Amino acid sequence: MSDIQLKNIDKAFGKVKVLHDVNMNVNDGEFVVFVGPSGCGKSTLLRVIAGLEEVTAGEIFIDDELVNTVQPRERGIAMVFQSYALYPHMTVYKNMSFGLKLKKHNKQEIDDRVRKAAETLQLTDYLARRPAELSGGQRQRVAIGRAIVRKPKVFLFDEPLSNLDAALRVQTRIEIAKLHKKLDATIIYVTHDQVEAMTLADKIVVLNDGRVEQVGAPLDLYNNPANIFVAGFIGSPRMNFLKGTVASVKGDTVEIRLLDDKTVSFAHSTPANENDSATIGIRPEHLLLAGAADGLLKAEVDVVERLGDVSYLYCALSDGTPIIASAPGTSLAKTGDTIHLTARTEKIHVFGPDGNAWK
Amino acid sequence: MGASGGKLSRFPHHVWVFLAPATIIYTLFMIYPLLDSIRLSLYTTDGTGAYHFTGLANYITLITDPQWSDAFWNALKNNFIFFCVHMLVQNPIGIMLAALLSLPKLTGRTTYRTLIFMPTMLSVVIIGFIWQLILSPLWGVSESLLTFIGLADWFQPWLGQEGTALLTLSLISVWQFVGIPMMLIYAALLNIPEDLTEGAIIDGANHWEIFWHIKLPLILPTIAMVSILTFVANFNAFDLIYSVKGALAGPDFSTDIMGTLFYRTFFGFQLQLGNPTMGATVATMMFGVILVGVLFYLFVLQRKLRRYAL
Amino acid sequence: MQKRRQAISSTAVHAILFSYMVIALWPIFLTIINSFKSRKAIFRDPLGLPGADSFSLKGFEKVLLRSDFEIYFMNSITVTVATLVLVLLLGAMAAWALSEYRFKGNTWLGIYLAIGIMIPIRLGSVSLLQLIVDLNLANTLTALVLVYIAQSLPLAIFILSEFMQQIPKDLKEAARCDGVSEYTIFFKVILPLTRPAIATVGVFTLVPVWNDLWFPLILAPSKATQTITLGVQQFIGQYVTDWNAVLASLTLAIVPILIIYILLSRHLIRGITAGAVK
Ligand SMILES: Nc1ncnc2c1ncn2[C@@H]1O[C@H](COP(=O)(O)OP(=O)(O)OP(=O)(O)O)[C@@H](O)[C@H]1O
Ligand SMILES: [Mg+2]
Repeated sequence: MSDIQLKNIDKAFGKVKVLHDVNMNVNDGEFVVFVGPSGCGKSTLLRVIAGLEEVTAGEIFIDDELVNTVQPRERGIAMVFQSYALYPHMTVYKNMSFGLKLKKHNKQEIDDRVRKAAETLQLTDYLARRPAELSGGQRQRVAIGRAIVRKPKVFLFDEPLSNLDAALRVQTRIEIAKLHKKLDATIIYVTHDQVEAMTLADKIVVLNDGRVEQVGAPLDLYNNPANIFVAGFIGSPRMNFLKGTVASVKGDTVEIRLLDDKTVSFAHSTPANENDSATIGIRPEHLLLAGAADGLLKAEVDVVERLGDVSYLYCALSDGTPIIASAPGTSLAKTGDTIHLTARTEKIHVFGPDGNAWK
Repeated sequence: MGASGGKLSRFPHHVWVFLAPATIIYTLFMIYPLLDSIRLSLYTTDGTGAYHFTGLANYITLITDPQWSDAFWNALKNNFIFFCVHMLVQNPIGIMLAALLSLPKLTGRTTYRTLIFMPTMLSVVIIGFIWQLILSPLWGVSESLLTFIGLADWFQPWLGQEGTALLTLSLISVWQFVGIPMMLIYAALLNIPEDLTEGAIIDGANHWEIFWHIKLPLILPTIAMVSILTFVANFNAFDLIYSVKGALAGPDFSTDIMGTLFYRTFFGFQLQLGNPTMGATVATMMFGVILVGVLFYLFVLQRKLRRYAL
Repeated sequence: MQKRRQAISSTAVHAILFSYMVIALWPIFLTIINSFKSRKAIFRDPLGLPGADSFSLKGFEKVLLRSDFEIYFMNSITVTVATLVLVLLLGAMAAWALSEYRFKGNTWLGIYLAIGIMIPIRLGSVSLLQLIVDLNLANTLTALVLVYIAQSLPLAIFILSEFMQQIPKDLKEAARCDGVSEYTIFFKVILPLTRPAIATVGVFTLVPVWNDLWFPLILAPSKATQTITLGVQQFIGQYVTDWNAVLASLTLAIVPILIIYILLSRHLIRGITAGAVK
């Protein structure tokens, strides 16, 4: 059993508040990813869980035990740093065994654990080398090995792949996913790369400016973003946002007026008033090319990015609002073309003036 | 490199204009006197002031003639004691202060390090006089301080006794210069990435284990450098002894080190006349000692202690 | 429980650092406060601050009256400033040539100029004195300046060339493409960019020069050319028993360097921590 509960966590560095009232649960064996833009407090939250930073307010429970004042080494966690933080003067073997030695495990036990971890990570041939003599990917694995040998209740990863090149990153990502299955471990993983988040996570926690914006399974966040921030952050290319106003409210149906007096209607239960401003969100992959008659949006193509299987059309609406649409790779659209776009109503998201999604 | 190489062939005079003034002054006032001193140590003067080549005779006199050798070996021994006190007291204290200063989340770090470093900036002469006053039985400051902590009986005129004068002077010098190892080691400790210490914390190390297993091995090259700087400075010391004890380095030469011996030999004292060639011989011996230390550092310590890219 | 243990150990750290700070400062403090006291008060209550009844400037009066402190000060300032300016200029020029141009013997010249970092110039004093006498420079400030330049150049060149290597190539190359002369590049582009390192080199040069006793003693001991360090040394030798005067002269010698230190300590510390000495 190793679940983690965070209750009303606040963290300030001096006067600067970095985390605001963070609440969440991490269940045993779950792979949780913290994602958010740079500086939003992901690392800080992870370090709070590790015990490297003290919280300003709130409670942290690991296995139902309050650990606010427990030293990092007694929390049963292991952490993998973005920089790997390998000890440069120790061999790979010593790097991996350092923590166990401090805990006074017997030699045989240490040796068994290190060799087993090395085997899992294909590091057996490198045990006698120093970190400077390893490639980036190998160092990364040593850092993971150092965590594994300690048999922690929880693994904490802080952007472990950001120093690797693109190919290695994909490969290591898959290895980490495998490792999670194999060790059946509880993992908290920080990244600002949403592809990593989507592919690895059982559960994603989206952070922005020190606040939890939404918690949910990857597809859940993609399909039902709770607010404009999450909608814009998850998905690539980014969701298109269009300004509009509420034209009429009739029972459960609301009608929203967009540019050029086009309207769209939705069924929803959140109260709304006429003339409220609202924002429409449509993902590029949900925009369809249409004829002039039934097009919702009329746009001029600025740039076409052809990726082969798919082409992204970077367009501008008549008032200049930029919009991105994805078209099949076979599309013939080119710069200067005028196109008409539409979308299925159930794929359109509506956000109120406060930025929250209307349901 | 093609561009700058090309520059050379087209405008070689730039290089010379930039380099010449520094090189000339340095050569004339530093290298030439050093080499010329070594040359002079192979000569002797007679009453008329003429120089005669004598080979290594001066060195043999210095090392074996009791009139010279007693003073020489005494100064050399004292100088080693002086150095050992620095190594055993100054550098460990410096390391300890640096380790404390580099602890995470320490408030007042800048104030501490600025103020602890302050005595290092002052002239050795001034420091010598200040301590002479403080330790003087006439003034009684030390005595009243010792009384205050209940050690009144301990007080002695440490600077005046043969058995304690050298040690006291060494400790005064330690007191003044502890800032240098502190700063250099502090700088080295700062260069150790925080991730590394945090990794060790997660690994379960306490502050002491982090220092011992992680930080200390990583700053060994800096400690070696601090040691050689200490060595060179100690074997070149003069000002402190001269201002506190005068050229005679009393009582009874018990505080005589190479620097004061050099000065006395060169300029003379009391009845003995100054002797430039013997002075040059002493200086060359000092040069030799320092050179051995520096070469040991460059070719043994620096090679053995690898610097790890952090 | 955990928190308490941490609090206790951080108190211990502060206690150690604070005590050491007191040990480092109180001799200086003691000297300064006592220099403002009457002779009686110096002996009766050496640890007390000067109060209404014990305050006295007698020591300072005596020092200023009986010695040429103003001259010593001026001499020290002249020597230090002249050395500083020339070391920075000549050092920067040489460092620039060494780090920018590839020429035959570049590395060897670098090593040659670095010898002086480790080998003290004092060891050549016998011949140096002879040389200064031959040049008719004995008992002149010029002699001191020349020797101090030679003494300070090696470290200055070392630090400055490390620094100059980090100046982006683009800057010089942009200037070269504009057809600017190498001299202009150095004086108008490089020298201004070197300013941060110059502050560090400045402190490393200034302090040993200001504090030196040896060369003033052997090269320029005449009354008119004494520097402050030598002046104080001689003055105290003469008036050992006049405690007011001794303390006042020490204070006069301490205060300027303390002021400079406090003004420049940031640069000095940054210089050291930036790995100026590798
Ligand atoms: N020790 C500190 N003192 C003061 N402010 C800090 C400290 N550590 C972090 N911060 C601030 O807290 C905020 C959150 O930092 P944090 O490192 O958690 O961001 P992050 O989400 O991990 O960003 P990145 O993706 O760039 O790593 C930032 O604005 C940062 O400036
Ligand atoms: Mg981060």
